[in-house]
Amino acid sequence: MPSSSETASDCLASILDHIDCTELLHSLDGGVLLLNRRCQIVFCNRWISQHIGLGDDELIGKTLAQLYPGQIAPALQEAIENACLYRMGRILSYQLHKRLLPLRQRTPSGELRPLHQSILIRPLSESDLTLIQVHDITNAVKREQHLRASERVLRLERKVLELIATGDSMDDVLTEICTTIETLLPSVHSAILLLDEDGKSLSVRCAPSLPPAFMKREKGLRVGPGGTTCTQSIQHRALTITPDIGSDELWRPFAEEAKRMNIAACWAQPIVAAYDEVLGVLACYPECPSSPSDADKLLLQRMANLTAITLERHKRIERIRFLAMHDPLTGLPNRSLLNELLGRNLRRAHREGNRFALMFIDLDGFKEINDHHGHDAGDDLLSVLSGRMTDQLRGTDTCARIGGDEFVIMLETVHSPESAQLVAEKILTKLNSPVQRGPLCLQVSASIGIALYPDHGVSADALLTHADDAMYKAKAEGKNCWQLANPNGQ
Amino acid sequence: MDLFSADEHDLIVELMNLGVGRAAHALSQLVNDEVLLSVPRLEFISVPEAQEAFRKDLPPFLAGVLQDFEGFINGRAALLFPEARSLELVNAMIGEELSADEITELEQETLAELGNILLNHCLATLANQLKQQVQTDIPRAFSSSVSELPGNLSLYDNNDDNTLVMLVQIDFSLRNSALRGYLAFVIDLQSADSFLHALREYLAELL
Repeated sequence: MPSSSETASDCLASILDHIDCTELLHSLDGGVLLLNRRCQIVFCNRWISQHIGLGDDELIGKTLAQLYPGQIAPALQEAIENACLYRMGRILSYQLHKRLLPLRQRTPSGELRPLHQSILIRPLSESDLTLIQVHDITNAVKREQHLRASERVLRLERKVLELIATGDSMDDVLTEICTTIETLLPSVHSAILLLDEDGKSLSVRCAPSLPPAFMKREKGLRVGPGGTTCTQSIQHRALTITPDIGSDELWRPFAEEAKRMNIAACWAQPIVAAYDEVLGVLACYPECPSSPSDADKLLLQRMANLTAITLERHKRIERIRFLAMHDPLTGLPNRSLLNELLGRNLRRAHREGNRFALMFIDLDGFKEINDHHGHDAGDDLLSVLSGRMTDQLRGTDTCARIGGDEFVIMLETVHSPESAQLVAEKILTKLNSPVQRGPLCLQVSASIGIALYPDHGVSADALLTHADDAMYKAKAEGKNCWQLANPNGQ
Repeated sequence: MDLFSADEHDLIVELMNLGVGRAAHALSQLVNDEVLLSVPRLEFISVPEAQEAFRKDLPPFLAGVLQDFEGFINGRAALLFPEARSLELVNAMIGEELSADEITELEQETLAELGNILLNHCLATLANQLKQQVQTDIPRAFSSSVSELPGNLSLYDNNDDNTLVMLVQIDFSLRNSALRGYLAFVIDLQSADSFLHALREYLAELL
């Protein structure tokens, strides 16, 4: 008695024997062709006639080359001949052959699109026929493109993040961000515009693919009513789109220029940092009138976020650098920065044969203010006096706070000892003038020691020591006066 | 295995180089860039010996392309790569810098075609030069661990006594990538006689 599995396989065999293979082939979602040794079609399934757009009767007996004269990819033609004549099996993949058969399909929206395909060519071993299978891989291509696109975005984002993390210069990172956008959105130029300190105007900071004329035009764009896309986006704090510059009223004054620069639209994404602070605009300028797709919008958003991170980090670094080199109370340079500036000025004076002056200033009676009125009063007094001193100086001079009530002023160049003395006189007057603090009237004076380069020394140490000594001499002379260091530096 | 004399062995090496050269030409045309292929080594061994060679030279996971052939020799041909590098090859061929972590449908197909072109040219050149016929089936891309490989390569379920492997090392170089893989031709020993016969005839004609 036959086992149940034997019965089942007998059953299956008999079912298969009775299945009409033709019907099976017609029902396949893909093309099937049978060719004879002369490459002529002896069978094609329904899918093929539908996609070629011809009936069976028009296809049978023809070769593909006859059906599509001059339109068959040479690789496909060769592969078919090799299979029909020499029995070599072959696969033709989509990635290596973008167009094989000129098949088209209708998209849901009704337009005809080329059909992405790969083709298998199998010489049948029990006959001299060759089986051709056409696979519609449109969906696989779509998936693959999507996969590659997101992979690309991720990689570029990672690159930008690495630049940020390794502390590359801000401008390099911003350029990389613009380049990334331009890689992902072909035929789009991008730029980063930053809000100025006052928050009232925009300046281009980075626009790697736009002509220099653009940098100039966008310099100092005022934020206010009547502004174009970028300034509007700042006001609305949202992506602002001008799909066609040519037909936009607000762009009219720049229409000619835009045409010259080959930009036809503008998409502006505001760059927003923590606490909703708007830092600037990430702008895209497509070469053809267009609006961003959802994916484009997402990309702009992500790139604007990266820009915000870059800008904030830059700001923080600048702040840290400032704090490291300045006195937090008065904002004046501290001893480190003074040393740096003094060294620089020494080299310069040496090179150019200049004379310059160093003044060591110590306040008289400051300790009493602190003791009687408290440290807050002392701090306020220092702030006010610092401001008064800097007011007396040129932009190139330096006033540094190097201790509690000790300051050093460096006059970058002086023509004679007298001009330094003149400045010292003015400083003395300013420091000696009373400072009103609420009901209190605070008053101190100062003792100043002056040393000149090269008269009193040619090194930073020597000059500082001699200025310090001269300051003590001024204290000894009764305070509220200046003293010049001894002529030979003694 | 001393099935072939030194002269016969040299002739096979020469024919394989010719076939690989033609494949390189075809691939270069396909990708519009220079593809260089060379065959540094060729040997005839048994399936277990081949497996040992793979274990020694290749990482544990392989990607490859299999293709059956029949004619003056019968058997199964395979192109084998380190799995991770096969993607690199596909990407270099299609001029794509990026690669996803896993091989996709389309990449699998492309790999199948690369193997197909290579194996067809080798087999067709061998047959044509020896004035013989061979036909090939369609290629199949696959991935497998080295230990599973004999299952993929065997002609007869787990009986390797009747087979002989022509193992060919192959070096690819294109667009700044270089990689080494293997071509393995698992030949049915019953057909090895006609192979030998064809080689001897060819050599006799030369003299």
